[in-house]
Amino acid sequence: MAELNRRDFLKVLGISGTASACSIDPVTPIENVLPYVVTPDQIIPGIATWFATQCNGCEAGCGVMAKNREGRIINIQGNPEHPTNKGSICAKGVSDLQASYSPDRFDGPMVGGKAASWDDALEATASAVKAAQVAGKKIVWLGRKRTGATAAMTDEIIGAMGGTVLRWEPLGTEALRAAAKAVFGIDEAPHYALDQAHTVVSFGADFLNSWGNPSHARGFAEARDPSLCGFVTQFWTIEGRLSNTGVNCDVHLSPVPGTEAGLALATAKLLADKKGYTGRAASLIAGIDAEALIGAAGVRMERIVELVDRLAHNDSVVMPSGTTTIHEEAVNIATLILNEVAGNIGNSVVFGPTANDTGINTFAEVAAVLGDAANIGVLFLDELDIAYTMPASIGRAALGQIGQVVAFSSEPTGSIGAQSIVLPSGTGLESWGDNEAISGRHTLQQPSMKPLKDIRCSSDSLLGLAGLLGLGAATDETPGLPADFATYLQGWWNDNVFEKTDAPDFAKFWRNAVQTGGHFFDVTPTGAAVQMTRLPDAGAPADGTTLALFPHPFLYDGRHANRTWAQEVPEPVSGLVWGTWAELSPATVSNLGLEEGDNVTLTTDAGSIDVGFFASPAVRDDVVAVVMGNGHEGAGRYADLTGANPVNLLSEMQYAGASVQVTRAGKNETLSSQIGNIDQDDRPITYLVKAKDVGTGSGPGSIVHLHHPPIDERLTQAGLLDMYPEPEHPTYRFALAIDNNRCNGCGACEAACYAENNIATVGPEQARRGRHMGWIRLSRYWEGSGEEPDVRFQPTMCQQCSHAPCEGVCPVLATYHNLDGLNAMIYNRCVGTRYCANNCPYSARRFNYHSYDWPEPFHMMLNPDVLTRTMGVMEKCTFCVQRIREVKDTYRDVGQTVPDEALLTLPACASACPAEAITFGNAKDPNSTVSKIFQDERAYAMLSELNTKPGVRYLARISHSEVEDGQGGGH
Amino acid sequence: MRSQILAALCFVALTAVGLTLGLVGAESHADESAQEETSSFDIRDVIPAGPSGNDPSKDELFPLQPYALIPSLEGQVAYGDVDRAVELEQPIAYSHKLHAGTLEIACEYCHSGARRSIHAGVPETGTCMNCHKVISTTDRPELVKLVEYYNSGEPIPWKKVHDLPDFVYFSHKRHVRGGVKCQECHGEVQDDMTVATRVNTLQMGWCLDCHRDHPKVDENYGASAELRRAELKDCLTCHK
Repeated sequence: MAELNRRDFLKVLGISGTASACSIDPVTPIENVLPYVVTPDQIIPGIATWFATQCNGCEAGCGVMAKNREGRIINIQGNPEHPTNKGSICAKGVSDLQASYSPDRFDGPMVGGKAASWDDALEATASAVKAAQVAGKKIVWLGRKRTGATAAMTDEIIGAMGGTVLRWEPLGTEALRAAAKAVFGIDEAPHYALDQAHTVVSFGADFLNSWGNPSHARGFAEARDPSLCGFVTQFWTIEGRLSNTGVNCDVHLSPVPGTEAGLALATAKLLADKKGYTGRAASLIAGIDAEALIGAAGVRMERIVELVDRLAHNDSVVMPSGTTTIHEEAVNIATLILNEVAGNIGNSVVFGPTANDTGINTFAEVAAVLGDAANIGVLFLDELDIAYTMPASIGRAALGQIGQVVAFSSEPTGSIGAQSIVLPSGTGLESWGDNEAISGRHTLQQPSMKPLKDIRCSSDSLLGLAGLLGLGAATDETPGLPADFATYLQGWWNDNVFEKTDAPDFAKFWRNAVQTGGHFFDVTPTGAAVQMTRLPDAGAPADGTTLALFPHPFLYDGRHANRTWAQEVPEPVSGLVWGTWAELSPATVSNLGLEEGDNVTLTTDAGSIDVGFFASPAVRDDVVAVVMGNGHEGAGRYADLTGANPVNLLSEMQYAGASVQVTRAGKNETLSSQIGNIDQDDRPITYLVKAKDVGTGSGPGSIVHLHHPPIDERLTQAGLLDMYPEPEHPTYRFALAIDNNRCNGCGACEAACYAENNIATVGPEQARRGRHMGWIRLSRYWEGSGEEPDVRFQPTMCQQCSHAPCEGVCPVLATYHNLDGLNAMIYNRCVGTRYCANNCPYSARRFNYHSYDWPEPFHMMLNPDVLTRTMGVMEKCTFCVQRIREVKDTYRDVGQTVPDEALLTLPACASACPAEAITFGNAKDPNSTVSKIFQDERAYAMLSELNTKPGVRYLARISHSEVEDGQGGGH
Repeated sequence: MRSQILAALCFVALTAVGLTLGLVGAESHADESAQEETSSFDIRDVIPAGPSGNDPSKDELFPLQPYALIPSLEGQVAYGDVDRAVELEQPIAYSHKLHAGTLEIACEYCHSGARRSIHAGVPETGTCMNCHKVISTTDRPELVKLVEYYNSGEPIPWKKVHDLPDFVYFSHKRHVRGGVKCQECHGEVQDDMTVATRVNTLQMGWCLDCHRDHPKVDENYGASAELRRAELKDCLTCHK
């Protein structure tokens, strides 16, 4: 190798090459630099300003921090001060940033399909209201869950018009509230505290995901963390399929659909007998024939005995039903009784700090009003898409008869017709607002950037309307309505929040509330006494094959379908992107003769749709579970693109229980799976440790049963193992520790990564060609079967190896190991040979087959600290090097190295994670948190036998299974 | 050794032929633009279909940047080619020589981000008006323009003289706090420049000249200067 080294070769090449290519200069266009005319006080170009505000991604009402760079919000993170999410954020919240930059947004008000001025639009609305009042027709407000001042103002103005206010959530807590009312006489959905539960039993609730509130994910992760509580919770799920939450279970019981309530009551009966329970529910369950009910459910008696044994001895939580449960209310009643017998009411199942559902209506109430649609003169729609989320016989049927629809919405929806009046309400980043989604937690929403379009928040539109109608004028008794909502908001907070505090001065209180994102009261949790005297009917078991709809973890009830991030982050269980699919059991798949990529036709009494399928090992043969969220009409370019709306299969608002026929149809044109194989094929990629072994080991990997032996450090030290010298890390060796046992596969890390790193969304066609660009792959392996499914999640990003296989093969040194331990990737140096991706054992690299562009105005939300990559360039995770650079720069100002606490949640994935499973830090410092986690007995490096010395360590998932050798065999 | 040099030279020769052909192709293409369009080489023919399957109606959903092998040279200046760094015609003929030289106004009075942010910042129009509210606003045409911009609420469309590629991370703050003088990169604006001009290439080699061995590194870092010099040569220090 001595004669001519690579550099000299390139120099010869360069010098001679220049002669022939001298007319090609590197060129750049002349750009303008546009300074402010007068710079806003808070802005220094190049430095981000953070605003505390609220998340509108679902009804959980989390607090978030919006990152403003040069006037545009470019990222959303959790607000650490907020008691609900405590700094974390879910994938729905991250994706909601795209709502502000959607290319489909209304530019301004619309009347009858034409652009109008605000004056004209409000005038048209006012005359419609007057006409309705004259004709004696109803004025109805129908919208999503709103609380706080926002709700109060709507109630006041619509009330003054003589109208009715209805609020409804498609995935609300209706069945749970009804059950709590029936059992305890309290009209609240209880709060479930998971962090102290040795056993968590769920009857289908998707509490880690579509419930929104991240405190459940946090509590569940804490209960699974042996270092925190000294035990590892055991999770039993009792449902006909495995939801995104259910896949985290230790034991899966799959009862006959419709028998869950009986099963819960039978368990309660056995538990009461075992404990000698004599409480107020004793008489309710006295007459229950447990054996018969368990037999009817088709569940093994031994399993229930085992469960009862666990419930009798330790703290537990019994979670309620989910959307895929038939007879939801009956099941919820049974779970509450089971909680009562287990002694959980008042301990882990409490009332008080619960979802504030004041003013939320039941679907029956909504349907009763919509059923009389011919008598509705004006329907105000507050972001709710009734054409999509309700059965056509109720939603669409009503829309056809209503006099005038007035929609408060930023984007088109299927409910907004040509004759509708559209009053664009803007997004949460552009206007004032508030919520008290959980009792006592008053969260403020402040405008954090200038609106992109001509908008007024719905409350301001209502105030304008009230002015035109002569409502709310000042009288001798009342001061009247203020001119704008910001003033009303302050007034309401003065009366309803400030008055309850002991703060001396409102101005100071308000400033503090805006800065911290709200004001949060501690509401004391309370128990409740059973009021029920007679058990309601538990419902009949289902007959034949039944339909069960479940919410998409990111698209939710469909409201995020126009967000490309929500579409393109793979659904964690199936790995599918772009489309609608049915979960079918392997038996159903083989009976129908389905092949990968086929469609199936689902037919019910109400209609039929064609969808793709996912062969789920855990779904019952007599259940067809269909994901909601896609298949919109007229709701934006991405929402309309793929899938079919499964709500069209419903004739009434029951997500589960309809009888359904499945037949084979043609090929699916859009769906594709992005997380590959469902099992490890006997390759030990993720590891398990037994719960009984935890605490017995003495260091890294000591209780992880490595299939391939770990590297003997003595070989390394003797220089016998490594061809390359150890890289030097003088100050930092940045490293990531991921606790697979805390991770519940929610996908927040993936979405946060898209937002932070300007990752292109490629669309269904490119995704099917394998050109998905996500830098984190949430690997999901399904190692078990039957009652112990053993599903393991493992977030996989670039492992930042010390001996990286990708580096040696790069012919242009575009990727190399740097002094901080990062596997650097210099995009403008990359020539796109793809050797690196070929040589990466973790498949962590993504190649740009095209220069993906961002439709306007998506480009405004790009992170200016991260380059957008172009065609022919390889890209990958570098632990958010732009954030590392920024924090190092901050501490260099004071001449310090970056302390541990400034690094813990630095990368976007770690800062988002609701389960707090990802920890970042400096492994060079032996006292850093990440170094300590690296010394955990459960720590292992993925594919450590390759001796790549990664900067990522995983903590093995803990299994309660009694089966020996759960590692996935050998070869 | 000989065989390797031969291999290198063969490669060079082949590449040169290839490039020449490519350039000739490009030039002739420009000459006969209209007629050649239909038969000209379109890279879309050899690259797999786009995300919308070459269906133009779907292109707005997942748009691709147009394929371009050699960008048009029209209206562009070269990075780092000093000779071609012409004195750009700015919307207002502002003189650094007058303000920074004669009047001795400190650089950071206008470029107030230099010590705090990655961007030194071009001053807001309001900064100009701090003085020009009272100094000769009506009798000089350039100042009349300034007042017009200010009153219109529109930003002054200055042309960038120092433009770094998007893939470069450059922090004014780090350099200014490290004791690098503005003039080391921007030239003696106070003495020479009635129109701001780029005096340095801003090419990577020029950056590295200092990053390899700037006297301030020893001064600021003392015992750990060697480590700092190593860090300053790390690609990720400056590349995004």
